Amino acid sequence: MVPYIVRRLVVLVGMLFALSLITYILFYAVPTDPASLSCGVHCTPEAVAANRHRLGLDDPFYIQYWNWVKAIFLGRDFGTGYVAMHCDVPCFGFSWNRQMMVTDVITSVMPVTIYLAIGAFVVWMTVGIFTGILAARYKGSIFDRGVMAITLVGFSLPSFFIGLVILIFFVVRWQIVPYPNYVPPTEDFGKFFMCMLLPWITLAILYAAYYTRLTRSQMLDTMNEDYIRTARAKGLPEKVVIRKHAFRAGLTPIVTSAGLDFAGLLGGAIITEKIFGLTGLGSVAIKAVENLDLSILVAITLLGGVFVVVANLIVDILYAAIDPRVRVK
Amino acid sequence: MKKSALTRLGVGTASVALLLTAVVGNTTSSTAAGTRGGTLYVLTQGDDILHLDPQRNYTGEDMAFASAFLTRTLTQYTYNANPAKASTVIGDGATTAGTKMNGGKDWKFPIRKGMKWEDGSTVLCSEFKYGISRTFATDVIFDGPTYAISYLDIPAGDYDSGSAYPGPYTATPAEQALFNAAVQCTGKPATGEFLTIHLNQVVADFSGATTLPEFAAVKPSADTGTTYDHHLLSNGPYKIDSYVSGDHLRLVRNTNWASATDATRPAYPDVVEYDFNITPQVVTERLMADNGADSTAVSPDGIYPTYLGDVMAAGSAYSTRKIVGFDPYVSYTAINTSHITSLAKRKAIMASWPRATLRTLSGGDYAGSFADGVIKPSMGADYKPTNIWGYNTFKTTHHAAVAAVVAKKVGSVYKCGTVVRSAGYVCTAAVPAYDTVVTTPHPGALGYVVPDNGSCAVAQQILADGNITDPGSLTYDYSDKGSMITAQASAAIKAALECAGFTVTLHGIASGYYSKVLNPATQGDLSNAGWGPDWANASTVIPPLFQLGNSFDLSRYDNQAFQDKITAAMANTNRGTQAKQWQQLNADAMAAGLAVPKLFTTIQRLQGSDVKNAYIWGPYGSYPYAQLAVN
Amino acid sequence: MATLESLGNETIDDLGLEEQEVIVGRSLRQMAWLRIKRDWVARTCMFLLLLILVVALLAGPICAFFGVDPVTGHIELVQQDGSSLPIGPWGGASWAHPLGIEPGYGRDLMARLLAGSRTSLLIATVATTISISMGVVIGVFAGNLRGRADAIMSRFIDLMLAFPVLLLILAMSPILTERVTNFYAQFHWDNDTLNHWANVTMLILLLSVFSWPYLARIIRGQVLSLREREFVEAAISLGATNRSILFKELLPNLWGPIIVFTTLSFPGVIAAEAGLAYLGVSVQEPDSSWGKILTYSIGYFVQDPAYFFIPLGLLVVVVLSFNLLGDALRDALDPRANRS
Repeated sequence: MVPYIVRRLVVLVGMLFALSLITYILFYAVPTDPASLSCGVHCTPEAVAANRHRLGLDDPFYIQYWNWVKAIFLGRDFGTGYVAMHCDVPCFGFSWNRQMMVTDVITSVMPVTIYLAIGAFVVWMTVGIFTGILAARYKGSIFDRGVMAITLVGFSLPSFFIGLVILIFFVVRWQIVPYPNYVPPTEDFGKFFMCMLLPWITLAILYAAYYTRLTRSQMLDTMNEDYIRTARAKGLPEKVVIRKHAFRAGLTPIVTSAGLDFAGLLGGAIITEKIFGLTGLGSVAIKAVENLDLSILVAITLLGGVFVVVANLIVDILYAAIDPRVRVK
Repeated sequence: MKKSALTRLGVGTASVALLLTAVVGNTTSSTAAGTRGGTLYVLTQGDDILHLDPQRNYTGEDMAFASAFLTRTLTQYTYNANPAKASTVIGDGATTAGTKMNGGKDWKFPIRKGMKWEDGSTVLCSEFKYGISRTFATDVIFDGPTYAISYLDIPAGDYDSGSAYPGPYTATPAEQALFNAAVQCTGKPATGEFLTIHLNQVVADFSGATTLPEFAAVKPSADTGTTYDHHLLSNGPYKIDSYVSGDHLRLVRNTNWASATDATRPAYPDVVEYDFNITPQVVTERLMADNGADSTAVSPDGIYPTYLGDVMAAGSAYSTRKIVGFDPYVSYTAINTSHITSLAKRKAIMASWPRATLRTLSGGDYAGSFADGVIKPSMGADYKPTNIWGYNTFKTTHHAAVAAVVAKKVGSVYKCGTVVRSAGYVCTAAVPAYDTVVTTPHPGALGYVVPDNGSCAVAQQILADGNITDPGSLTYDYSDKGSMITAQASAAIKAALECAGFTVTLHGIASGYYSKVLNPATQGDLSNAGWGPDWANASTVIPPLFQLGNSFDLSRYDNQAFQDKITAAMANTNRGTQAKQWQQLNADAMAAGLAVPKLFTTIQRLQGSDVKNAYIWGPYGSYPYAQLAVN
Repeated sequence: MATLESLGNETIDDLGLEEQEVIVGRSLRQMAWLRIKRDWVARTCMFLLLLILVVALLAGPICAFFGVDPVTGHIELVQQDGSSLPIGPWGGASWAHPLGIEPGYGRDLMARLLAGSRTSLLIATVATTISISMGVVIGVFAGNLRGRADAIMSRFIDLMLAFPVLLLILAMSPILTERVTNFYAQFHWDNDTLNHWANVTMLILLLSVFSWPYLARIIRGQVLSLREREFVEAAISLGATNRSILFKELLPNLWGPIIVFTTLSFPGVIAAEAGLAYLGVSVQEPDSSWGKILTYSIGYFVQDPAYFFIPLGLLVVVVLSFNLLGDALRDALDPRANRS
């Protein structure tokens, strides 16, 4: 088990390196000069050059990249004298647009994204798996057909439409829930919950539709297996067959998929955050795209990638723990 | 920032329009009653306040907001629902609106005693001085107005700003001495300090300039340079409690602010919360629904277009909660003369502009009236109709009443559209329908009568007169925030120009609109824009817009005679003859095809039912934020 | 593949193909075709999709027949009370404008929908084709080469899957548009054509370049398992060349996953285009696409429902039909289907 984990960790480090390099190249190879964005309308060439020097953008590319990587682990100082700034570890650079250190920007909005992802994940997994199992159990019934039809339609609607309908009708017109003004859960959990409820539901609707279908098809597949027939043949009640045998076996692909989906959301749920005006990684990323705020874009892209790669690793290690065959493959 | 009723054009323009010249002296402002307590919410689709840093804040709504709650300026406008009265300048950080000396070349401001920063320390004269000096550090403090650089008596030099003084961060003692000579503090905090500002020319209405936060105090030890926006030290009735860009700005009471030192800010609410990034439609939906906390909410955004009819309808449920008024702005499209050098082409562009379609798209009567230049009639003596579009007179036997109304009002900028409608007829459709109408054209500066919706026939005629067979291609820059209306407006402009023979590429810019078009390298041929004066003098309109290289020069008109006229008008100390010069320059600019004027805009706002003292405050075309109370 | 948010994350695991046993080659395809022909849902979906395709292709003649076009404004047909909503019920529908007009500028909705259909369907078709070609080629290579080359390719695929796709698309779109415009400039097209194709190409490239890794991963898995199978071993032992194994033995057995992937990818691209338009990445005015129309009309769904629900209905029909067709195809291609 240990050699397997070590091997995977080495691969992980390699992946992270490649991820950071590609991200950095993608954004810094663009024909936009970040330095020219760092001063006002009447930027003189000298002012741009001074800022470029201050940000280290006049160095060759590989040195820029090296400095950037180094800063993540060691911190960095920008400029000297009255324009000096220190950037603490882990340093992802300075955002001119927000006039803040990138790390500070990300840590300040990260909780919103994490809570959004966790809540939505809980909702969609509960609804999706439960409905999926029921649909599989009563395959071909009116319930099954109805659920499948609803999931298909839910699947086909653009998420910005679902969000806006919920917002205008459930919040503004019918006042079932207050308008989501984010409050940290540590401050007032009740308010936090009410605020996040609709974003959770909006985000979860699409995934729930997908997971209902996934669970149903997984269940049907496993229910056709020989050992289920054996279980039934030996006289186990259907409930036990489903819970103990079919569900367990059908669970693995669902878990894989769920792990990756969840990790993907941690990089920011752009559309949901935009509609509900939640300031998480997604809305910060959109703003960064609009302003070509490269230091933030690189950091968020990298962060999103890291979440997925790490989630992949965790899922794989869990598999290896369960199934010894994986380790030697 | 120019914000029309429907769209936010982007960032970066100025603000203040006035009806009267500043009245110097200590006038007590009228303060409406209200109850203390509660939370005032400000809901917006915008994603942030552009700058809270006083020396960088140059957008109308943001200036109104920041000076109401956080930053005391040297002087201020009066809070009054009547725009004429609101334009009176009174003291704020200074106890008076300043004393003119040396014929208006030197100005003396007695600094108010007892003002405190949020950290408890006294606001000193030297801190006003320091604040003013920050404007010169253009590498750190950018986006703000630059009147200090233009007007202070500091020699010209080689720094980016054009001054010999580089700002407080990098100045050598010799350079700092230049600034210290121009701005002086005398007296002691205990007995009263005086701030004296020496100007390089007579500026008779300088107390208008000092209403800008550019002339507000900054405490040197609290100055964090570019990041001061987020770490602003308040000397107003509120201070920043929490500020997350893109999410919210929450202000709570500044316990060190003493109401005794401040007669104009009653500071009714306990908390002020600015909520950003709300879906545009939802802002209006929430204000209309008026539920719960939204009953104490206001919004700097216009009413979402689809609801405009419902909200504005006479006798609607919203009639007690809506406010309407004039804002200081003119919306126009600048023509980049360095790209389009042919006068005939520029005139053809103007003649084909579909102004009526654009007006309907922006909200019709609610959007404003057709503009004939960049100076608004509310500027008083500086305004004179330019007669750029020309007009027709009508004679009719059957409907003499219509003809009489039309004839009486010709020459007015409102022209036939509004006039005939007020007589119960639709102008373009109804009048020509009467067979006996005789039309007499009175051509304007373009040489032809141009109908409200432009005319590609006239445009083609102008091109033909100028012997232009292939008008060539144009690019049109506009701020594209994803609004259907803006997109359709650009499509309408494209269609109109292509009808005249141009080829048009639309260039929608999602973010940083003004910084992109102000940069010659990225500016297109035509750039949509909006501008309002900084105080009641067209010296804050014509030079910023048309003087080569000035702060909002999108037309880039390199014509010596024209530029000399601007310089002459700037130097003229006789306000009466200066007004004539501005009138002429406005007309000249239009005749030279520097810009297509679109609308003299009006605005509508809707607020929650528990918001008290709401009106459109003339100087900024905004809410009188300092006066607002909530139940 | 309903939304962009899920675009980056949804795996194709629910295809159930990775572990699926493809026992028979050609006869399965024949069997699948028979099953599809018998399935009325699948037939209806195919009919609807063909109908929409034909209508989109005939956009020009249809517009000419009704005398409408997608660019002319009819400002006189909207209310002058500030709201600019179409005058009359059903979004101002009339004989002159069968589906009504847009609020605001008053352009004909049918003409704009047809123009938008062409753009959206073109983008979806080409993007799906490109991502399938790349996915198949890279997947087959990785599975076929095995060893170190496979490991590198697999890591690369993993890496591609790890990127936050939507964010990258948003960030890359302005740069790519500029590059493509510069490239097309050499053809001296007229202005509108140039802008149209630059934006369309940009969307196609961005939507295809990030979606091939899914298929590549599936195909690689299939190839790996197929290579272990008796019939491939038999072919090898009979001295078949690599080339003939690839084309004669492997590719015919990959049709199943490819077809199913297509039916999922196509609506995915349509939905992704809509999501991107909502975030501001789309064709430029006055061009239209489904995403652009929906993005603008969403603001009107309360006040002018016809303007929003007609385009939404069209989009839902396309996405739904493809999904249902995908389900039917998957069932039809499932060799175990007879057992249940």
